[in-house]
Amino acid sequence: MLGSRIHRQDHIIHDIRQGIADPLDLRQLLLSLITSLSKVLHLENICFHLYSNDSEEFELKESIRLSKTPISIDRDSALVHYFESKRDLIVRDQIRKGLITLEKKPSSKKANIALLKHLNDDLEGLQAEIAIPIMVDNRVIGILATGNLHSGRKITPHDLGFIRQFVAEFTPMIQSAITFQELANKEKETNALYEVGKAISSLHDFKKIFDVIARNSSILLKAPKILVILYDDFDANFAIKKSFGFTDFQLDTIQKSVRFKECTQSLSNVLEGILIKSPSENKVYEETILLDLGINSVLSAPLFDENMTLVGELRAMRPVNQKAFAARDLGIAMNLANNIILAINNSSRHQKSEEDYIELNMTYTITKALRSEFALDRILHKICHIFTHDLNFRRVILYFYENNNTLIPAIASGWPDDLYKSLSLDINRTIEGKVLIEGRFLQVGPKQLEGFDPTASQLLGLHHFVVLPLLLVNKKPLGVLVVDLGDEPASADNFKPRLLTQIAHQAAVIIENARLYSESELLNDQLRKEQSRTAKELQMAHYIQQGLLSAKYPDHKEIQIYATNIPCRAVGGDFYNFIAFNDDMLGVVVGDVSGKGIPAALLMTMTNSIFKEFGKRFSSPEQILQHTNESLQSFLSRSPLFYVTAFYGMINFQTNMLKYGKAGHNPPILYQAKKDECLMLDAEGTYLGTFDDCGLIEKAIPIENGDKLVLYTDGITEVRNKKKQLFGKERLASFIKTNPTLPAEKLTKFLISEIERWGDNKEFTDDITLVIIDFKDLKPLKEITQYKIDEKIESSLKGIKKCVSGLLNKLEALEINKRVYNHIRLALSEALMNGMEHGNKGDASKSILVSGVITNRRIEVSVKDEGLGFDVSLLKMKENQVDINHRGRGITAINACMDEVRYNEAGTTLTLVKYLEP
Amino acid sequence: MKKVSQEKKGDIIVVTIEGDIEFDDSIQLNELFSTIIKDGHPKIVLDLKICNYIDSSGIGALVEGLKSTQKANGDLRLCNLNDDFQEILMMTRIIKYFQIFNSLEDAVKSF
Repeated sequence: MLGSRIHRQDHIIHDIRQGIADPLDLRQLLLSLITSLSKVLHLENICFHLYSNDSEEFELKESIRLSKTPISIDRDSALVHYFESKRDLIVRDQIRKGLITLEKKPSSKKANIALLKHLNDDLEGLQAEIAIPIMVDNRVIGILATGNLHSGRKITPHDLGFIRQFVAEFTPMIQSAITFQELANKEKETNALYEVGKAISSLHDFKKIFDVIARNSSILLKAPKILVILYDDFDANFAIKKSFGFTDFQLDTIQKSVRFKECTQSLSNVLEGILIKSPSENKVYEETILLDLGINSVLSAPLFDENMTLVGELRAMRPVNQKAFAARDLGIAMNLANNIILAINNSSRHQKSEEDYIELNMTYTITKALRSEFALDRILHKICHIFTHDLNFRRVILYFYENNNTLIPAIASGWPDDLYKSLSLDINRTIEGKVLIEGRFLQVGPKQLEGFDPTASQLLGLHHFVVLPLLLVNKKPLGVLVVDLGDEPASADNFKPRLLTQIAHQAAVIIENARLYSESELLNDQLRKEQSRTAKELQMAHYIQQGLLSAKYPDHKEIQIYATNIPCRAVGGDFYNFIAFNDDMLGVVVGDVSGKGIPAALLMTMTNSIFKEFGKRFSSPEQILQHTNESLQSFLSRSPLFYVTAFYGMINFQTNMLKYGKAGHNPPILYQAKKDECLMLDAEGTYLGTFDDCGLIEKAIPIENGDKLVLYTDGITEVRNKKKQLFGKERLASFIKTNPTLPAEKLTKFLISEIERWGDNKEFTDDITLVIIDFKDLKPLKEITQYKIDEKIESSLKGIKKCVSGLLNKLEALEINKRVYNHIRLALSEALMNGMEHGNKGDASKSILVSGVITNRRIEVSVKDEGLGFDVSLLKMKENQVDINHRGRGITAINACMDEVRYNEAGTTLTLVKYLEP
Repeated sequence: MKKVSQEKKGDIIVVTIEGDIEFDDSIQLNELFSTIIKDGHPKIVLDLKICNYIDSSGIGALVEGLKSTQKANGDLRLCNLNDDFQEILMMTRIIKYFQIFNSLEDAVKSF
């Protein structure tokens, strides 16, 4: 029944997907999703609220059957916080019920009630009975809000399941469409700026220009109120030259306000403009006036002339009901300011006297010629052409300023390309750089060149020349123009410095506009192609990976499994898998590959399938890991960039034994119900993919009903709290120990929320994987004692030899397998020799007590000497040392051979355990 | 150790050990290596065809032998290791210090 239902859901979702004509068209996508959802579930209303970076709110994008405009919520709302911690939908009815219960109980915490109230308010604002988060990488990018079922039928868990699946399926598509739309908007904006620039440079009438500016500013800045303020020479004061969205009375109030003059004046020190987000934070404008006008946010871009004197201001305002301006808006305003200056220059020139007419006309012609070009390289060519043909200079070269403080030639006329192309001028050492830094044109002769690097002028054969800075209004350096004057110094009358400066200034603005345009054009074009391709690919990768990971849990009645994987990007590097060796033996692997994102995902997918291959062929985790290592090595060519850590466990349901091997992975935790203890499953072995020999040694541990196996990746233990403390495996172990009866799924969810709390509910920075296996219905196995050891032996080589050979004979008689036999032999003789040499200090009059038991399940031997005991911690340390001393090897050997090695507190008794499988 | 024999092949001494190396065998092994080195033959191949087991004191002797042959510009190389023997060398993390060959011939030729 359930199966068929799920199948039908998949079918419906498949159909919906097929019905989407253009998945990159956000509006179309959302509308078709809404229509589909409404067809399937008959909901009262359905709306998509998507997060907007502009307004920093979740904005209503598309909706149906909505009675009134919903109230937007922001990132800091209770609902978004809820989504980010629970990652699940919310049903308002349950919140209401919870609220009633809590309010009845006097013991309820006020904070809890407040939280529920906030949630309820948020949902009410959205007019939502059900709200579903649209999440990407743990971040809420949108909210799907719906009302109740139209029919009055109650919403069933099945309905909720469908909605969950629906949102999960279409999230990547929505994300792609949003990104695409953002790109499209960006392109539109750049185009509009370009158009403004173009329009302005062709107009010569002040009134018309300001009209264009005010109107376009209002559109581009999404601000209904615009002021263009200019310094009036006649009044010797700043005055409003053009306004948009104000009544005459309001304008009058502003102009007459006490601080009106200072407001603009204060910009003279703020090259980058002023951005005020709320009336109270502002120190510039009169708060009362802003409040009277109903203004919330103000943006001011200064207007400077060529001499960097403040000549005016472009001021945009947004009213209270609109979101405050963002830094991006200020950028747009600054560009508009550039264009205004250009326009002012143009028109003021028109007002000049007759004698300037020719010059003026020339500027006009030149500007017109320049603005007729779109492409940057065409504009550069035209600039050269103007200087060499229209202005009759011999040669000209244009340098662009690069971020590393050099000037690089962009174009030249009069020199062969290969002569100048390789030039690179240090702005601190050349005359050209000096001009750029000082922002003033300079006529250069041999005298001026003294003290500067003459390489460029020598190479180019320049004797007398003019250097013109290309600067934007906010003094952003663009480059310099060098004009050759020939062999003799020229008089100012000849080369008309004012005209050249003006042309240079216009050229700078036009180049910048063209650059902006071409950059965005190129970028957008590329991005558009890449975006739609990678979005699709990423989406597919995500599906494939989640498909790999959400593969069906193996069907074993003895155990209950719950596995979670939260990739920190769309695709991640963690993996887990369940691989059946046969009906009685189940392999479980958890691993983490180096890196993140797509490369990690590829490596993970490959590793996972290698494990699957060897996991079916071998029953020994050590062998599986070793073979995987060899395979990975051949694929990864031992690059240190790619490696894999993994834990492989093989559960044997016939013998209730877990064999495991570990390759550089975090030690999983086995909660042992009988002892009420957590055991870290540590085993020797380093990460896979790099070394021939990973030094893998597999171990075994019996499992019993009530035990829990917790496998994880370091994404969990390496979450840090505010004090930068790690969550850590000890905290993980104690968390499991305090919740030993919680079933796997509940424990997982509880643990994840605990870790989120630890990490202050921030996005996880690494992939998180958690696999919990509850052993609940293992068949009972009897442990039968076959042999008991209880000997007191002489502390000498002779005594030891006798004891060891006695035990070995017994093992042979019990037909213990050869490998185990060798392990016991090595570990036991090492333990006895240790006792003799270190414990009893070679004193043959002392003795060693050997006791233990051999059963069908294990061999356990304790060795007790009569020494003072050793420092256990010292011994532990020694294991890890890579010293070549043979006694150190003894300890290494014992640890490697035995499944468990225990010391008593005093350090006089060493207990060795080896688990047996029949 | 049941039997230890040696044979000269060019300037290389081949030592064949039969039986397990354990307990006080290491003393005998230490002496053997230092005598051979003293005689001016620091290039030794250890043939372990008939050896199944070595304990940590035996390993100590091998490492000692390796160090002193290398000090005398020679080497101690192993051949014909059986699985059990090799596993012990692996578990004790000692295997990486030795050059190991599948046959006596390969080992002798390797010098």
